Order: sequence, then structure tokens, then C-alpha cells
Amino acid sequence: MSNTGALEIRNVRKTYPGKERDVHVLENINLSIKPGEFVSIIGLSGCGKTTLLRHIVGLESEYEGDILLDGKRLNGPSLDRGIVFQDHRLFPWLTVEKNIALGIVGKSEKEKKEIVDSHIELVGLKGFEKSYPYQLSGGMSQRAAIARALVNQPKILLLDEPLGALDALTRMYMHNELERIWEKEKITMIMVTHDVEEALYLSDKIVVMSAKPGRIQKVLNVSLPRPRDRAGHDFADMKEQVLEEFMLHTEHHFSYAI
Amino acid sequence: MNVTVDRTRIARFAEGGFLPAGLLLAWYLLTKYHLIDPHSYPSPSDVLNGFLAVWKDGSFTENLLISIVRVCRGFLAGASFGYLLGILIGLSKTADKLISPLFNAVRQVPIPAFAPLLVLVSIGEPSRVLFIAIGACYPVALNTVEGIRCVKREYHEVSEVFRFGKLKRFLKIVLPSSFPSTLTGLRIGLSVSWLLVVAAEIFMSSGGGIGDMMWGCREMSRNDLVIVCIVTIALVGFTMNILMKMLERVFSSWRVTLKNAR
Repeated sequence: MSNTGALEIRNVRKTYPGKERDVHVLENINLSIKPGEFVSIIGLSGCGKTTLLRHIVGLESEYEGDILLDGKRLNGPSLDRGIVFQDHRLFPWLTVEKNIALGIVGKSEKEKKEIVDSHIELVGLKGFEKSYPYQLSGGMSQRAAIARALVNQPKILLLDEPLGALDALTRMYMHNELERIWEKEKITMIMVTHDVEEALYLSDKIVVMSAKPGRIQKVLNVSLPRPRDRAGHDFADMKEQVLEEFMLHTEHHFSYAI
Repeated sequence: MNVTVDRTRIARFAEGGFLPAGLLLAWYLLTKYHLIDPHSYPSPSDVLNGFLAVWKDGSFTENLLISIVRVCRGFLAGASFGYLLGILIGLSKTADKLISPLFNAVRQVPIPAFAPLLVLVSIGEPSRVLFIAIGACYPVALNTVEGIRCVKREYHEVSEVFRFGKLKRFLKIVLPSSFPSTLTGLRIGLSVSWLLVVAAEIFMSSGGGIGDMMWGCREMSRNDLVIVCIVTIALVGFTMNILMKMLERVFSSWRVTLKNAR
């Protein structure tokens, strides 16, 4: 399991046809992600980070260049990639357990039940199997969404600002939970976020993107030991480094303006 | 919390009762002091006596049951057809292009205008049931189409990611997601059916039923019984609407509560 889930992104370019001229959304994206890595893609709104993620999951399948999963070019969605959206997108007319079970493909009812139970256990939602999404808090809904995304044992879990809508404290708590799930499942996780601290706390690698056109500005390796200390000196240093990427960006902008 | 809910419910019920009680009182006083012609306008007690008479001889219950069975048949036929039609138009662009113009044109024809034609199609019960069915079909079809078109793109994306087949997508996402809208259509369709059953019994009479009974009483100048029929029609329609609203609340609890919670 742990030796699959390698992602190679080569010279990916994406343009949307516009009325007057084409809009460059992604330009010259090159990135390689090792199996089992936790990678965060961080950047300002409109830098194409969500578009990139949508390409990896397969919801957008027209692009130039190659996105390879374990050497195979991606073409549309597949069960080897799971995704958690910012809005949990659970079906409101189904209970938590039915929502999770709905995604399971090609198993007997008994196996389904076991898979659902173990995943509910994994995300810590025991006791809420029969609850409807409207009865859950934001954090619990995202737990259910994570469980649903994991039921088919994908090689890669994609997370599109999964904690963006949560309050700060719940978010920190969910960071620990995500880390625990990642360590247990041993799969590749790619998360889009605009929270620098979140990216630092969780990632082996942080991909900083810049906008217009969306491209990779820098890839930072985070080698701090886990579990990471948000208040630690090294953590603060790293944070400074990431933030600098965004500062530099504005400086360039100003020097250009003068 | 519950107490307040109950209190407002009782209050609302009482408020809704003021006007009917006032009208009843005015009616009573007008007839008691002979302010209106007692031959054309029966008093409340005349109406009550009339009701007791038709209740005792069984004709009231018989006719009411005939109407209810008739409305159920017409509604079930029309609603089923409307649901299927709505699904077809909602799912298929081709069906939408082919059927919608005709459907929207036919929909403009007042249902009673179909009555002369329906008599040609069949004499007797089927024509009355069909008459009701036509009316019940429209709101169900329209609301189902609307419900299907409003299924969130986000849900479709989830089904894409999980590689749902067309059938699974339809059964697990499109149908449940659009069902609350269909239920609204069913509620409106049932009200329309009940209005139409009376019309059907008047236009295509001699089949029994509360409308037929009312028309017969009118011919015999039994205005007390006409009023009995009118009040009955109102009460049955009112009850049907309440029952459908309860059904709606049960089936779309996830939607209603979602609105309140977020």
C-alpha cells in the first residue's frame, strides 16, 4: 500500500477559453509527490490551487502536460483518488452511515457494514452513525466526509480546504486528527489550504503557488519532527520562511510598479 | 420551548377561528330576525337539520365516499403520470425540447374546457377520473422538473468522483434530492383534484358524489343541503391540505431543518 500513490505532474498547463483572450489558470506546473507524503498547496485565492486539485481528482480532465499516478496518465475520476471538499457535500437525506456506505463499490452488504464501521471508528464518529448531516457540527461533518473519501482505500486523498469553514480551535483539533488518520492509513495526502500554520503543522512538503497565471513559486520541505510544536522556535522559523514567499511576491509587484 | 410552540399553535388556531365564528353569528342573527328572505337563505339550524336528515338516510356518507374514492383514483393516476413525465423532462434535454412546448400549451387550457371532449371519449366514471387526473398531473410534473433541475452540481461532482453509474446517480441522488419539490407538487395536485372532483360531478353528473348531490339539491331548491355540501367540500379540502403538509414535513425534514440550522 505504502509504495503506491506516487504522483508526477509534468508541464501541466491549463487555459480556459475567454471572450477576448484565453485565461491562463495553470502554467508550467511540475511537481513530484512520493508515496505516503503529506503535501500542502498554499497560495492566494485565484492562484489555481483548487483547479490543480480538481485536475488530480479528475473532475477536470482536459489539460496540457501529464499528471501521472504510479506512472499512469490520469483520465477522469477513479476510485484510487478520494476527495474531501471544503463544504462537506454529504447528502442531507442520508444518515452518516448511509452516506459513508454509498461510496463503497463492489462489496457485499456484510463487508460494507464492516468497512463503514471501521471508518466511522477511524474518524471518531462512533455514536453518530444514525445522525443526519444537519445534526452534525462542521467538524463532525468533515470527519464523515473524510470517512466517505477513504472507504475505497484510495492511493491518494485530496483535501480541498477541508477545514476552511471551521473555527480556529476546532481546526487545530482536526489537524491532530488528520495527522493521526494519515499516519494510520499511510496514504498520500494532498491538501489545498491558505492557512500557513495548517500547512506547516501537517506537511512534509509545502508547495507555494502564485497567481496569474497559476504556477509553482517554490517547494519547501518541512523536516520538523512530528508531532510538531506550533509554539516552537523551529516552527516559527519555518513559518517566517513561508510567509516570506508571499512578501517577496508583493515586493516584486511594487518594484515593477515604480 | 415546546410550551411556546404549543401556545402559538393554539393561538393561531383560535385566531383562525374568529372570522368563521363571526360569520356564523352574523348568519344566525340575519336569519333569526328575518333580515334576509328565509325561503332562499336557510338559517344555521335549517342547515343542521338538513345535515342530520341526509346523515341518517345515509345519502351524505355515500356521496362523500364516492367523491373521495373518485378523487383518489384521479389523483393517483394523474400524479403518477405527472411524476413520470416530470422525471422524463427533467432528465432528458431531448424530451424537454419535444414535450415541453406541447405540455405548456395544453396546460393553458382550463380543465373544464376538456369536459365536452371527455364525454366523447367515455361516458361515466372513466371520464370523471380522467378529468381529475389532468388537473393533478400538471403541478406534480412541473415541480418534479424543477426539483430535478435544482439538484446541486456539487452532488453531481460527488457522484462523479465515486464513479456512480447513471442508475445509481438517478436513484440515490436525483430522486431523493428532488423529492421535497415533488411533494409540494403532490400537495397542490391533491387540492386541484378535490376542486375538480366537484366540477367533474357537475359537468358529468349522475354518477353520485358530493358535487352531484349539491347540484341535485340546487335543482330541488334545497339550499340548506347545498350549504351542507359546500361546508363539507371546504372541510375535506382543508383536511387534505393539512395531511399533505404533514407528509411533506416528514419527508423533507432534512431540507427544512437544513434551512433553519444554517
